[in-house]
Amino acid sequence: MAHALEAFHLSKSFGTVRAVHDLSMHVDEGEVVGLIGANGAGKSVTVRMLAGLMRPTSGNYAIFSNIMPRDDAGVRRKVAYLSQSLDFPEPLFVRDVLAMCEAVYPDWDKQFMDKLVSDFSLPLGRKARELSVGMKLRLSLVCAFAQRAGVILLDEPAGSLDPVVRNEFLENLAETLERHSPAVLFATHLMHSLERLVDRVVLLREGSLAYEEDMVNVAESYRRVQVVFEDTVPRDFSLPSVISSETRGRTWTGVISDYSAESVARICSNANATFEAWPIFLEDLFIALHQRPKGDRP
Amino acid sequence: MKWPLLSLAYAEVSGLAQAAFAAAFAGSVLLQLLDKPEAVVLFAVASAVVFAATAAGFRRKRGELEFILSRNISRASFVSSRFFVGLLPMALAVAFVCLNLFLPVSDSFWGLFVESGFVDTPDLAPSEGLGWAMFALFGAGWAYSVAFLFVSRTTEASGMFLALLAASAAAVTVPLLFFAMLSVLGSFGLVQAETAYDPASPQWFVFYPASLLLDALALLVAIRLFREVDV
Repeated sequence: MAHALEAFHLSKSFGTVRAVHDLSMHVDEGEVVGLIGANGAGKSVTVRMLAGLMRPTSGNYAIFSNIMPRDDAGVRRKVAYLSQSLDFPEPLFVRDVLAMCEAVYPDWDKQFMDKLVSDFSLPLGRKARELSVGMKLRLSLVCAFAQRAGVILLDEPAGSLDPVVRNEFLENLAETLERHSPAVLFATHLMHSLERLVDRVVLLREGSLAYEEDMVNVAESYRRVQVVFEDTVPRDFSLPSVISSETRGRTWTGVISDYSAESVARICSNANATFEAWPIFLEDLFIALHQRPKGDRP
Repeated sequence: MKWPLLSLAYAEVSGLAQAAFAAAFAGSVLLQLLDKPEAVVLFAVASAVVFAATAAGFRRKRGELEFILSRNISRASFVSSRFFVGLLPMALAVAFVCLNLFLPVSDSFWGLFVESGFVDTPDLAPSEGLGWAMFALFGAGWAYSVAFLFVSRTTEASGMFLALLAASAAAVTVPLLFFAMLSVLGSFGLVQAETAYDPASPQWFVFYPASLLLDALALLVAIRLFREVDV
């Protein structure tokens, strides 16, 4: 599948602080990629660079194979950006925001906009800036989808929403993604927001790409395994493809990639131990990866 | 430049239109109390700095900048729209006040209510009045451009004051340099030295269109610098 978005050796520094370093990644057409990482890992800076809001210190990026100069409005119309820090100009009503977007996007889909406005119950006659955070995000979502964006960049869009509103927003996003299939890069540290949406995750650590994996593979091959011994855990005990592990008393717990029930059963049987295995959540994987020494990939 | 962007810029700084009306009115009334054509120039430069500060203070609204610049809008269009939306009402206000050089505008205002009798219209020859009017308009344009350039770099309210001071100084510098140049040329007999300080003199009519180039240069620099800005 063709790449909708590609980053080539992107770096961004603020004085001596290196926010993003030599990041190369891509998002295919119709693919939803989660960009995860701890606070300060460089997620927002990456998304802002790709949205044209920040200038890379070095490296560049391509949108639908067009290497992006900063002000290339022709290609920029294919990109939508949503962030919680985004706000609307003070004097504009909701209908003005939509009218302004309609005027600047040649492929604006008015019919789809009307449908989304109705689905999201957006009050056209209210000042956009006075909307709640959740409604502001919905308005941004309408703009993004009605402009027929081929690439949608989301920078922690639901970070400070309460769980109910966050869930509603993610439902809206998921439903709309079902109808359209843009390439989406979703930066967040709220893993459960991503779980049901993304096809692949990319982990940033200290500004660099530390790990990437397909969600199908995560579901099929990754497990949290708990091994219980009759006595203490042998000092040299481990399982194949361990990402991280910890030992407490008689119990060894680890997250492993490339899980094989037969292989684990055989090892545990030889060690005179019992085991249980569970599918992992993205959050487990994230924590496990962060517990690994840097540069040590599974 | 896209029209929605201009209308947005106008909506955001719509107070400028009211400010222009108020400035034109107040300027017309107050300046005639002074009965000096130089006062028109001072008024024009002061207006330019205030209007530029309002139009160029966009970097303090980061959330809005994010919204606008993540649209299908170039930074050049964005800066230009803000520039012209401030420039136009400022120029109208200054032009209106310049009418005082030729007509008893203030008397007409006052006359709506009372025959005050204490205001006067400068007794200027039309060419002299035209010179001062041109000086006020083009000087204001230059002051506006410089102030816009400086203020568009600031992100803090505290930086605004410093930017305005620097802009005022820079705006005054160019006409002063022009004075100095005319004096030097006059001492060599290349121009009429005695008319160096007369804004109606032919040499000054060279400066006026030249100042438009400086305005354009200031706008281009503002655009160029804004392209480097991280939002």
